[in-house]
Amino acid sequence: MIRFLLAIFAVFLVAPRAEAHPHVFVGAKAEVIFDDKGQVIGINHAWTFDEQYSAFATMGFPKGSDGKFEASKLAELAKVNVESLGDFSYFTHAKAAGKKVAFAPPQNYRIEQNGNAITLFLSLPLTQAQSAKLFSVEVMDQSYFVAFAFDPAADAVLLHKGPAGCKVTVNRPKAEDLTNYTKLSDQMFQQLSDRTAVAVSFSNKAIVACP
Amino acid sequence: MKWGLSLGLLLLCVAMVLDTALAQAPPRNPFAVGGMESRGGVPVSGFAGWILTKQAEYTRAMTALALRIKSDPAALMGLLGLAFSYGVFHAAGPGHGKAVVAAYIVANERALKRGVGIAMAAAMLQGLVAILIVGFLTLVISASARTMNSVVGGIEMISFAAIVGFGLWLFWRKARAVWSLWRTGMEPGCDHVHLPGPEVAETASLREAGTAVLAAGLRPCSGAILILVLAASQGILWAGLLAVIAMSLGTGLATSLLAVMAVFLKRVAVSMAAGGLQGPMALLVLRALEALAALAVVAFGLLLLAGYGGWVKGL
Repeated sequence: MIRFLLAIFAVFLVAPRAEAHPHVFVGAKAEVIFDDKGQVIGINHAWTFDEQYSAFATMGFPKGSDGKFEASKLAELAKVNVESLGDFSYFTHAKAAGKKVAFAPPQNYRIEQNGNAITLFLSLPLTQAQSAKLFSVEVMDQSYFVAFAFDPAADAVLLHKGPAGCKVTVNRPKAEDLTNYTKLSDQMFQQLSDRTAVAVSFSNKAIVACP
Repeated sequence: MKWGLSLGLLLLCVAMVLDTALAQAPPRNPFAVGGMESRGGVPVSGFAGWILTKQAEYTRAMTALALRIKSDPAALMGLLGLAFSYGVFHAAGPGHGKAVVAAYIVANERALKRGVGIAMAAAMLQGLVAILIVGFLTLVISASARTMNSVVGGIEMISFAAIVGFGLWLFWRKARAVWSLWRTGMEPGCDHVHLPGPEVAETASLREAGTAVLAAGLRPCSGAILILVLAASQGILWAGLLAVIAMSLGTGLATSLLAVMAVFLKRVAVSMAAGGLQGPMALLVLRALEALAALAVVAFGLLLLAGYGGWVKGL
């Protein structure tokens, strides 16, 4: 009995460290942009927000009789969003041949409305063209307030003007099978204390490999 | 010696708070909802990660059901059930309400019934605040998300200040008790303890319970705000309102469970700490433990005020 209560209490103490739980969900699509020499020069993002956040972000926006929000309001929202992305590395973490690469501020950004959801489009140029031999781009909020996941569709990550022979692999977030946690055992305690041992992958990454 | 120790601990606490407070507060998320929750945070895995994925699932399912209600009213029952479960998970996950409730219990005597009452009242207050804010901002003044964020941010600051106030008040009471025990207990031939009369203690403890409810429940949770805003945008605010009530019930239930456990654990901790000690010494150990719990609440509230919600909120 004492063990059981201690176990429950431990769960309460450990779980809270999972501080920033996601309140915003983004279905992401991306386009990796190439120049004529076959080098990567930037990323085009299309982030579709869940209906809850979309309703929140557009609170109080005047709506036409067709249910469309005023265009100027959406443009203003896009600007505000994009301007504060810098503090969060644009939620875009890219590596060329295993080395981190930097992005310049977003260009050509806009918000489109489709039904109950809004989509933020933005282009993110690399500060320097990068080799596409092994190029990876991870779209995620490391604080996990926003849960990014590449769209389940096959065209979630496309190559724009990509050279022939390039391959794209998309790894979406997944939660490990947690049957381990259905009973409170000593093993579970060990896993709780060694939190890194149990992997729930929030990684949301596309890997581009060109010849 | 004991005073030296507690003074040392106090200084350590203050140093810790200042140290973190002087570093820069983490930036605000571009897609922030509400207040502090949108700041900072740490990547997670393991059980914590599992709670996160559960909450995420519930959120997505609640959204889908809320959108269906207009065409299929039966979806309401599903929404309410999910909202209740979300509330339970929410309490098991982040939320500073737990810290206040647990500290209140550690710092008080006959706290079982009171603790459960506070847990339920705080959860209900949290839901009510969300309903009032969203109701007013969407129906009355059709405010923007930015206005919503600053309103919630303001309420949040008040609730953090209430946490500090609550902690200080608790500490003041407990430190005095420790002091009086220390003096009387150590003098041979003086075995009675000078504590305030029962009437004074009763009024004080009711006021204290009220402060605990305010501190733990004033700040609305982003999950409740989001479901309300979604419902309002669909013209079914009433459904959002019912969902938030169900959510609060779930949170209240889970926090009450925590309250019960805290009472039990306190007994274990006290009997272990007091060990072979008896009489005044055992009581002294008990009061010192209570004073420490109060100090922890103060430190916690100060960290929240300094903008570290993302890192300490779940403590």
